[in-house]
Amino acid sequence: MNFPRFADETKLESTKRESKPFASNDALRRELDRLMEFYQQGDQKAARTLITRVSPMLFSFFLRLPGNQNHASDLLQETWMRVHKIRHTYRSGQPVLPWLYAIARNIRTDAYRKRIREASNEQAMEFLPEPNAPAPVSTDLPSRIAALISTLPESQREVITMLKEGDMSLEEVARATGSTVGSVKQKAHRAYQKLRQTMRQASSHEDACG
Amino acid sequence: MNCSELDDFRNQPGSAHASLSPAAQRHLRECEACRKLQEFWQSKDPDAEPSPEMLSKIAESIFIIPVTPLQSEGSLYRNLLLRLAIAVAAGAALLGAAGWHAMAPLQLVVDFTLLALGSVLSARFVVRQMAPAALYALPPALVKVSISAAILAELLLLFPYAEDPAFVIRGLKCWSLALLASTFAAILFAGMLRRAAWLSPTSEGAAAGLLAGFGGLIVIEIYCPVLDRAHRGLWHFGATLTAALLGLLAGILLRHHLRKSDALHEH
Repeated sequence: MNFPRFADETKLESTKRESKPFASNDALRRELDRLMEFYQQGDQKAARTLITRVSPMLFSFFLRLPGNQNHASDLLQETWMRVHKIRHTYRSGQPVLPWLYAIARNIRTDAYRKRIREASNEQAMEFLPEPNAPAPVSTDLPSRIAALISTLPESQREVITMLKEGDMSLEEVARATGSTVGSVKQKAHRAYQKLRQTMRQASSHEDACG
Repeated sequence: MNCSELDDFRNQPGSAHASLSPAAQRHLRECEACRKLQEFWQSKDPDAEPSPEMLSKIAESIFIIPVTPLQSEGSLYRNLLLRLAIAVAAGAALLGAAGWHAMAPLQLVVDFTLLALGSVLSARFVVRQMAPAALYALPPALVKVSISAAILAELLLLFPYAEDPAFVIRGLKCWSLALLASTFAAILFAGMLRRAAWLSPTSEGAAAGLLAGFGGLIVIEIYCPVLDRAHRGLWHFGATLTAALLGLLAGILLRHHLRKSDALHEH
């Protein structure tokens, strides 16, 4: 059976990535979905383009969640291996980003549990990774807020990371995390509240100290 | 605009680069915390980029061949229900319908309506879990627990209590037969489920086990003429729970097998 080839690669390549390549751009999102369909049909170029386009988002997702900074590259590779293995489960017409993030999330969880198991098997309990340990704090505001995000409960941290790094909608995040839209909205709301509260407290403390 | 409304705006895709309304801009001037959060939201970490070499390595390591996509949800759903119906029909044909004839009309209607509802909802979840990123209107675990609790409550409330000297022997017989029927249903499901993504083998196994369990429960409710609620509650419903637990166990074994298989592949 002959499948149509992904012939519009040059057109896509000329679309330069901005700092948020897929922000609110329905046409680009649909393009991602089409890339996945072509990938399923055996198109090597489409697969390569999809990997190039989506990997930065997934890499950011792994970097933002504590405990994974040193393993982000490995997790990214494992994610694409798993994507390749279960690519037949992507359904045409569905958004591909939540599908990819659901797989990435699963890989990340499995890797974390594996490290916990290996660490406890070696009886090196003092080296167990601390999932809520904040990333090293730099002086610029985004890094400081990123460090604050790492102190949030995991479910809230995950939602905020997907909303920001994946630029996904609430529904897409709900799909990726296997929960409901209401639950995702609530987690995001609580996360924002906590971040604002912490920033206000830090600000008051700075003012008090002069 | 207040903080909460700005949060709702931030939840929209593309919000990081969308132009802000005058109300949003006014709020950001007044609220330092929101201003800082918005600055973060619009920032990009320059170090969060995988190297081109890594991306090339990933692309070159996968051998692309066409695959047949999973059938549509609707098609899988009908397929699964058909397999369940076949299992139930086979069980009823072999064991008979003494239970059906023994029940009062109200018991028949309520009992089998709830069992049908439980089966239909369970099948929906099993199909949804076959592919990543399914959307749920309600938490699946809540729905499964609720429907199971409703069925148990119905078994305990609709049927009278009747002392039975052979409670255990009769009960074990029903429990075994229901479990056999569930096992047959699970075997029929397996052919379909092998194409699932199996991202969470334990929960997917438990879901499939629960559905098979409902199949076994329908068979035993059709067959068993004992109307004692203790008997039905413990042995009939107990078989359903056992099937769900066996599904969970199968999921655990599958997860272990998949991990070993991935580890071998890495080496």
